[in-house]
Amino acid sequence: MNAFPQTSRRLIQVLTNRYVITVLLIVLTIFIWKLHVQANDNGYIRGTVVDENGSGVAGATVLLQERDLVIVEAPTSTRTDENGRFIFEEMSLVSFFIWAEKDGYITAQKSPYHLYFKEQNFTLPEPITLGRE
Amino acid sequence: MVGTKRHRELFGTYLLLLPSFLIFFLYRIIPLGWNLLLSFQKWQFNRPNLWQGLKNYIAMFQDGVFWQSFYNTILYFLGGSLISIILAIGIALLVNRPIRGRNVYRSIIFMPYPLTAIAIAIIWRWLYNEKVGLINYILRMLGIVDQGVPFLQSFGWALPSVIFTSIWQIVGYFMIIILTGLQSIPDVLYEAGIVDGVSPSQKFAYITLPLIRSSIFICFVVGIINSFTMFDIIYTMTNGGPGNSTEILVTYIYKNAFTFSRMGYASAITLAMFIFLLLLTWLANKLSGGEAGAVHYYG
Amino acid sequence: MVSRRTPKIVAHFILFLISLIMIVPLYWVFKTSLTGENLLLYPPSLIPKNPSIFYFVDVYYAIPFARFFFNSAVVSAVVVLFNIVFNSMAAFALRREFPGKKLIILIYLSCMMIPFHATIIPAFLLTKSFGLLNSHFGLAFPLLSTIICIFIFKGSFDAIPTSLIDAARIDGMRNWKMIYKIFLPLSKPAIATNVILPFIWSWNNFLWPLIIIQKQEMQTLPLGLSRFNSLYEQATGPLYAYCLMVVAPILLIFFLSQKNFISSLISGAVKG
Repeated sequence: MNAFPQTSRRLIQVLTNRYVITVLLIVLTIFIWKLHVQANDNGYIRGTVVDENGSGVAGATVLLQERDLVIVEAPTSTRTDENGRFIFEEMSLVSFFIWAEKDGYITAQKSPYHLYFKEQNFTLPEPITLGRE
Repeated sequence: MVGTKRHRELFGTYLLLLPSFLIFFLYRIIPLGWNLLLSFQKWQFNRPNLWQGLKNYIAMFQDGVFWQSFYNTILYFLGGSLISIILAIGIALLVNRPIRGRNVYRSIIFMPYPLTAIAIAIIWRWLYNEKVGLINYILRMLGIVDQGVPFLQSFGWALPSVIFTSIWQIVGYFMIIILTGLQSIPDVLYEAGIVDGVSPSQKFAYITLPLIRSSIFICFVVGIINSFTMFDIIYTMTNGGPGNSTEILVTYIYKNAFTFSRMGYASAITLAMFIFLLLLTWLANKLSGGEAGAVHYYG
Repeated sequence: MVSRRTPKIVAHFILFLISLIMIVPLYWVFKTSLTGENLLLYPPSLIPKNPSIFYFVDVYYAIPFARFFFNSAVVSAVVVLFNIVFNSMAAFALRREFPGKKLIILIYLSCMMIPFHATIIPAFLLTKSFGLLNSHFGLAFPLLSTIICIFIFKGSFDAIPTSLIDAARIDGMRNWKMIYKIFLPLSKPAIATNVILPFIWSWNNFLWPLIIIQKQEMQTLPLGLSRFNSLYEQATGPLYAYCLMVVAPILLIFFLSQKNFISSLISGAVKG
């Protein structure tokens, strides 16, 4: 009976200790971050390819090349569907170039993107534009 | 009864001392002797060592790089530690005064000391960079130079540049040591000085300076050890510098032992370095008036 | 306080200037790690333009950062723990009188004069013969106890009145319990010093890992930084990000406990 307020007081003392708070904050941040990563790590990268008028270009080849600090990998590719949309699945990289090409169009410029963690789900913020030749 | 109890207590005491003693025995005492032994041998992998007698030492005394490293180490100490101590005394005197925010100043000036030496070396390496370094940029902006000065690549500038970085890191530490010494001087002495009508410079020379002798001696010793063990910074910034101009004994020892695999020779240099270190410390002690410059310290 | 020739304003000015010199390199690192700018191309700006943490992400994946951090952390934790245990034991033992005490103290004091750098070759050979190369324990072994820290504990222990010990002895307390229940709780500052000093020495340790670690995955953070520097010399952004990541823990502890931190490092020197 008498011990109860004492233990709770000691608990408060421990909890308001600078070091304990810092450690707890760090652990909490790491935990929340891990949760966020878990929820978003399917590893797909998707977007659309449009022409100058803004309509989707079907059948364009989209190329994705991983950027590393040293090595330059060979690009992987995929095709757009009838609406000009494409998706790369199961990707595990953090920094890459992406561009598109199709016969009859000028090849798009390589656009660099950078993710926050590997296998992050990513949707291109703006579509890749192909200009006509 | 008493005999066995004392025995047990004794045994317990030795047991308590055992772990720490073991560590020092293995990693301080034995290495000294082993170094001595190795210095008389020529180390060969996969073959028994050859006994060389004094050959390593003779080679050492004839080695130009050895003397260059020796000379550089002295320069580090004189240039680096002495200047740092003088600067630190000045800064400590300023920080000691009752101005607002002096704790902030104190913390900021101290901050570089505990940082990882490698990180500091990399940071400064980039600051000194000829083309993209901040220092050269400022120099160019101020019109002092036309092109960047190759600080770490030129024979003349490399050593001073590294010494400056070392000063940058350690001056905060010295400042705190001297500050502690300053704060232990009883005010009564100053008041007596005012009564006697001393001028500020006299006050400094005759009251302050002698009473912080002990702190200055500590800075000396720390400075000596620091200039002998500055491996991290030199290895990362210049690795001996353009042609041995920033080579110190430690880096030369490392190169001989682990890059050239001349462990016997490196051991000889190690012993020379150690003896030199002891000599310098003894000298510093003598110069501070013996007894490690101790004053009436409260202990 | 006695006034001097120089007025307060001048003191402020000088101190401010010096603080600036101390901070500018660190701020520069911080800024560059966020923006990766290249002075050759653009003039520097005071505030980071387009800050991003992408360099930190790059570094995290380019080297196995988590692994290196783990290595450094484990070694430091081991060093701190063993230091507290071994040093308190030794300091406790040194409180008594026993034959050979003067000799032991003399040996300890003279060990202080032997810098680590004078022992690297035999230490390497010794660790190799123990088979401890490339191991966490091998990294920690030479640092498991330091004389400075022993004397710090000793100073604190000596201040504990003998009457307390005698009372505990009469109650039949054994040595270990005595250390744990009486001495240590009464020496909080000494414990703090015994945590901070060994931690800094072991976290910042570069030469020793350089010598005994040959396997990539066992590297500690500073060692990894050095290798990173020689590989990716041109990439300032990631390099500076790595530097920050290495010193971050120390800076954190420094900000949390400035007074303790500074006084610990000082007692490290003064007792010597």
